[in-house]
This record gives sequence, structure tokens and C-alpha cells, in this order.
Amino acid sequence: MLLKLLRYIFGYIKAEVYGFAPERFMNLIIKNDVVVWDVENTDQGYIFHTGRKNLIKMKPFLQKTNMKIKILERRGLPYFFKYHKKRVAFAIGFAIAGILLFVMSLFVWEVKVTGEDKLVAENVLKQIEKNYVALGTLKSNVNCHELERKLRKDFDEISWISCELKGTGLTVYLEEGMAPKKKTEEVPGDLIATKDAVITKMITRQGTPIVKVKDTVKKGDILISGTIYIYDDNNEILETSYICADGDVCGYVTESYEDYIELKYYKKIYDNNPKSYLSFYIMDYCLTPYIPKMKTKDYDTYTQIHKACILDHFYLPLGYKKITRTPYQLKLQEYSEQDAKKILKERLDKKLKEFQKKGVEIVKNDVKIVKENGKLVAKGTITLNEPIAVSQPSSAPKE
Amino acid sequence: MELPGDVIYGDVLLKLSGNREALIENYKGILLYTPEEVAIACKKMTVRLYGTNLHICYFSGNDMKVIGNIQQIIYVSNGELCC
Repeated sequence: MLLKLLRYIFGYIKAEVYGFAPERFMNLIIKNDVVVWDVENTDQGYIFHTGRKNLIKMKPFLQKTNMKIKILERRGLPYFFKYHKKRVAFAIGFAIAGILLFVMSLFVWEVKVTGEDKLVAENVLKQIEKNYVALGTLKSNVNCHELERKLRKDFDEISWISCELKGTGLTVYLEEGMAPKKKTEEVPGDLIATKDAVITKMITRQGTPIVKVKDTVKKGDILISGTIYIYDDNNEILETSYICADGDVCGYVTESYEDYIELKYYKKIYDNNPKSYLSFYIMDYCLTPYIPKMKTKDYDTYTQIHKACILDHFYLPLGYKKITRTPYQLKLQEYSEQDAKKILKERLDKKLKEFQKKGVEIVKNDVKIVKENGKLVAKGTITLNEPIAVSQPSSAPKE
Repeated sequence: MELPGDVIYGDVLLKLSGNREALIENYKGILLYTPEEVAIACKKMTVRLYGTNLHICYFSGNDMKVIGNIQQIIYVSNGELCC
């Protein structure tokens, strides 16, 4: 194997000798340290393989024995280079491409965050790209442990995080948990109302209740006071202590709701033949070879970005964008009253569902739909039964 | 002192592997090479290998290797051979 490799590197030929005395010729060349191999015999002489440089050594013997030589094949690297001499530019290009690829592999070109909650994942991604690992950061400068630590510090809702640097991509695996409730310091405070309401339920855990069920309160009114008075036998205040008021207070809250829909509206009528074209990009530079002309000024543009990626994880800062432009025409149309009502109702239902999701009880729904000046208006109030208390530090002196 | 025969007399060295392969050292040259017969000139004699599909794998100034189906090896004294 090694011998074969050496022969290939230095180059060898397959030649045929023929003439009067082939044996004599063979004997002469081997006496002069010419090594031949794979000798075959033909009708007129021999076919053999020998080293590239031996050709020159053989010349005098060829004349001496009156033999003729015919080179049948040339093999090996020297012949390969000679043959591909004209393709030097190709080889250089190949080498440059290799070097560029190597240089590119030293940077991070893609940051991915996987997580169940899209919103958290997006925020994490933004934070990473903005503050820690911008695209194009040297890979050697990325410390995964450090990054994990920083992200854990920035986002409380992360319960488990793992960063992985693979190829030119940085992948962050997330597992979200509930954000731990920040422990509020036990500062003396009152519970106050956040909205105007009629109290429906009241549970006091700590503090002095100021209001009672069925009372009407206004925004900012104290519901449970954090001030506790201790009376003596004569019903006189013996001591006043300030604590952090705690309790659940729910009340009927009236929320106003207003929504409208124009009966006349413009509808986009899309053309059936959208035009698409390609645009190539390298980092921030874009090259668009051809942009098709659009007949109308109005069109929707949809861009799909394809990032170049070798194998699974070797992302590169180049790729192409496929841009599709769909022309449309605006056409004035009118909703029928029924359709408009349906849309308004759907929006209202969505809003109500949002309340229900939060655990708020809907007591009354007074929203009515009326037609006003060419639009359909949904107007009214929704009465909810929701928690209204919020803690507010009191200005009482600290003990 | 005992010296090997190839040094004193210039004997040919033949190393055979079954009848498939013959490694010949200390030879002078080839006299004849056909698939049925290979004649090798040595200092004092000629070695003739008979067989079928005989093929010279390589040969250099020192040694040569013949492969194939060797059936007969004959030593002929130089005086008797005329080449």
C-alpha cells in the first residue's frame, strides 16, 4: 500500500518495448538500477511499469539494443498536475473556499431558542442577541455556563436552561416554570381598592377591615387597614401596631365596553398570478439579480429566508430570500348587518372569554349593538365579580 | 570460517512459496520470458522455470519475483546453454 502510494506521488509509466532483443534490453536496464514491475510479455517484447524518471536512464539502452518504446499510460501526481495546469484558478478557488469555510466556522451564525412558551423564547432570543451573543461573535468567546447563569438571572420564569454550541449554531434549550412570586417585604401597609366596586366577598387575614360586604367603595379607598389598635379594659387605645394587611376582597365592578365596525370597507382582491423572485444575501449585503415589474402599486410582499446550512448545524451568514409579491385590487364592499353583528359578537365573546380565563366571574352583560352613522356599534357595560384589593404601603412610621 | 555459498560461489538463491511464487536473488539477467517459461541467467548456471501463467511481478538489480503456476524448475549448466 505504501509502495503504491509512493509510486503514485512520484509518478510512473506503463510502457511497451519491442524490437530485436527485448531480453537484452531488460537485463541492461536492471543492471543500471532501474526497477520495473508488472512485467507482461507480448508477441514482440514486453510491457512493464517503471518510475517516471527512469525513462531518461533507459534512453541510451534503447539506442544500443535498437529497441523502440511506446508509452501506454502515464500515472501519478506529476502527470496529474501537468494535465490540470490550465485549471490553476479552479484549484485556487477551491483552496480559498476551504479557507473561508474554516474562518466562517469560527463564528456563531445562528441562535435558536427552544421552549414551550413562544413569548419567553422570543424574549430570551432577543436578550441573547442584544446583550450576550450577537450574530458573528467568535465561538471561542462564548462561554455556555456563563451564558446560562446570566440568562437564569435575567429571566425568573426559567426553571431549567441548557446552552449548546454545535457547529456554528448556538442552541438554548429552555424549560419554563411558574415565575416565583417575589416575596414582598413585610412592610406595614393597607389593602386599597383598585376600582370602583360593590363588595361581594371579604376575607381578612391580617389587619382591620374598614368596609363590609355590600358596601360601595371608590378607587383608592382603604379596604383593610394595616393599623391595629389594642384597647384596654376602658375601651381606650392602649397600643397601635402597624402590620401588612392581607386578605381577599372581591366586588362587582362595572366595565364599559365599546367596539364598532364600519359597514363599508375595502376588501383586497388578490390576483391569481403572484410573482416571485430570488434575492441572495451575504451578511447584510443583498444582491437581487432580477425584480419583476408589477403592474399595480398595491401588492402584498411575503419573504421567506433560507439560511445556508451545511449538514445540520453548520450555519453560514449567507443564503437566499424568496420574495413573493401578490398584487391585489381594493374593492369597496359593504357588510350586511347580520354579518357585522356576527363579527362584533365574536369580538365580545373573545373579550368575555379572556375574563373567564383570568378567573373573573361575569355577572351581567349589558352590551347592545346599534347602528350609528354607517357603522355598527357595540356599546354597554359588563359587570364583573373580581378581586379588587391591592396592597399599598402605609405612611405609618416603622417600629 | 563458513561463508554462505552465494558469497563464495555466487550461487543463485531461490525462495519458493508452494508452486505459486518464486523469489530469485543473485541473478544476472533474463534470458527468456513467456507465460510458459522463464529463463534466468545466473553466474554459473541458468534456471528455467516452466509452468503456466508465469508473470514477473517485479525485478530489479538484486532480486525478482515470478508468480504463476510453477510446474518445473530445471538447472542448466552454463556450458550447455547457448543464448
